[in-house]
Amino acid sequence: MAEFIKQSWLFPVIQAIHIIGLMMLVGTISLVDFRLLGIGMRRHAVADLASALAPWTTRGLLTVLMTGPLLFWSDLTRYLNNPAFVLKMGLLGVALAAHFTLHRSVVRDGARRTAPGQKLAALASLILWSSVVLAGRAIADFDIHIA
Amino acid sequence: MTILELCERIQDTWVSRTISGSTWGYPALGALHVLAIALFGGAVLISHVRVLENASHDVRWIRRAGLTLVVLTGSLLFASGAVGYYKSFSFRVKMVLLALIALHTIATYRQRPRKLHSAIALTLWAAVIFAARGIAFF
Repeated sequence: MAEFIKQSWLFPVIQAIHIIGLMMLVGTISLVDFRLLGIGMRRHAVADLASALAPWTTRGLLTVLMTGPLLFWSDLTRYLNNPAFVLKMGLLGVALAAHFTLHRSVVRDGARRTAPGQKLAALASLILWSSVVLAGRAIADFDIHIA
Repeated sequence: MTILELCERIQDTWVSRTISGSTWGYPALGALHVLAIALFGGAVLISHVRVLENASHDVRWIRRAGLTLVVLTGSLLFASGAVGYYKSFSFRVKMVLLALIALHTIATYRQRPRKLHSAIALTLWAAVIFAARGIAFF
């Protein structure tokens, strides 16, 4: 099965679904971050925006968590020997931990204006998730070919 | 001049040769392209699924900034290897899909939001992702 995914049209198809999941996950988190930073959507309170987008963040997370391991499993040696992949997993761990602790607590605020602490958390979230995406994309550039 | 000749010329410009000739040019642009898609994707999604009142209007600047970055990085990626992209079946499909999205956007511009229009737009965007991923494989 792993070999079949690796060799066939299934691999790019799963990758495409992974990217769509990534758009839902990172796309919705970053919208909340932009709102925390005061960019756009200012008529909505942060808490309202965050709770409205939360179902899509969850759907995105579930999508990447289902497709990602499939891709990984299709070619274990490739990924385990790929420095960008290892970096991505590390960053993903930090981003997820920050999302469910720090990020979750700063978006509870119902106020229209955001405090400097919230802005800092938003900036950290944007940088972390962007790094995950950049490292993910870099997997294709850091393949070590074993002859 | 045929399209192929035009692509050869594009590929031979200073900008294109700088990108294709450098180690980091293509990976950096590719990474920025995907990052912009991730950020832009969220804005497109909530413009269509209507989880919030007036969301489409509220995120228009984020959507425009994202689109600008996607188009800019995408054009540079294309320029760096125009002939190869022109010959790629998946790339051609992707361009047709993008043209359809542009037409659909113009046709529904400033209309009352409708579920069918949103469903068409989101389906087309998803199809773009599939075609784009195909470029690396087919």
